[in-house]
Amino acid sequence: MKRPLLLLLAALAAAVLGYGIVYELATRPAKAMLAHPDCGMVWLRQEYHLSPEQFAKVEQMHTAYRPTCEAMCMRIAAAREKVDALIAANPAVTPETEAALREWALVQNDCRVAMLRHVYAVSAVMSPADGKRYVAMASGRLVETGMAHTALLDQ
Amino acid sequence: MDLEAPPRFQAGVWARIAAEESARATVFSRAAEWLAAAFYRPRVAALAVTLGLAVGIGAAFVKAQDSNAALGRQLQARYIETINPLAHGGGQS
Repeated sequence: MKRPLLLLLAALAAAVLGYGIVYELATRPAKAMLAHPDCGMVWLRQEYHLSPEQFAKVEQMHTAYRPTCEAMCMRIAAAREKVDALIAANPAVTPETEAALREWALVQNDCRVAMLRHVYAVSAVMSPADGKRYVAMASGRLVETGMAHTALLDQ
Repeated sequence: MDLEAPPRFQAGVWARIAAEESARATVFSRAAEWLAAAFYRPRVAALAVTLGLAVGIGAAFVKAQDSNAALGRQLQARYIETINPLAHGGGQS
């Protein structure tokens, strides 16, 4: 009765070994990419099949866009702080709060426009099919504003 | 016509029943023996290990597809963070 049990264990060990090796090999490239300090750009290059020339152009555009993105980020943070301060200081909606909320929305809109401009510019460097896919992916994330409500509720 | 049972008729019948039962028991025990012996055959052992390996590899491929999709979503989010000023928290509405 020992032999069938040993055989079963050997089959199980083969299954575990096969699983471990194949899983590790199949997920290694994506894991390595995620560990890369500039993983977003590395992902972009692979996902949208960018040639070295295309990637160099996109990288250049990305670097040029960074100061705009950072400035927008600071404008949003400032507008948000103003809104928070007015809400905390007043017991009701005041004309100042209304104006601050309007300003905050305008800044967010400016950011979306700036991002969309960058997205269109980057997509123009890609092949038509990849460019279309890239615009669809990035524009799908345009309405995302920071953390999702569900994520906030989970905290 | 008056027929008489041959001598030791009953004993003969019981002996036949016992023989049949023992033959049936032999069939089962032979099948069990055959099954046990099958495990000793190298071909069966190799088949079992190959089958285990195939199941493991198949399961790994399915799971890796899921994991790669999740990693892909993470990478996409990392890229979007670098181009979306709203993704840095200040734009929560």
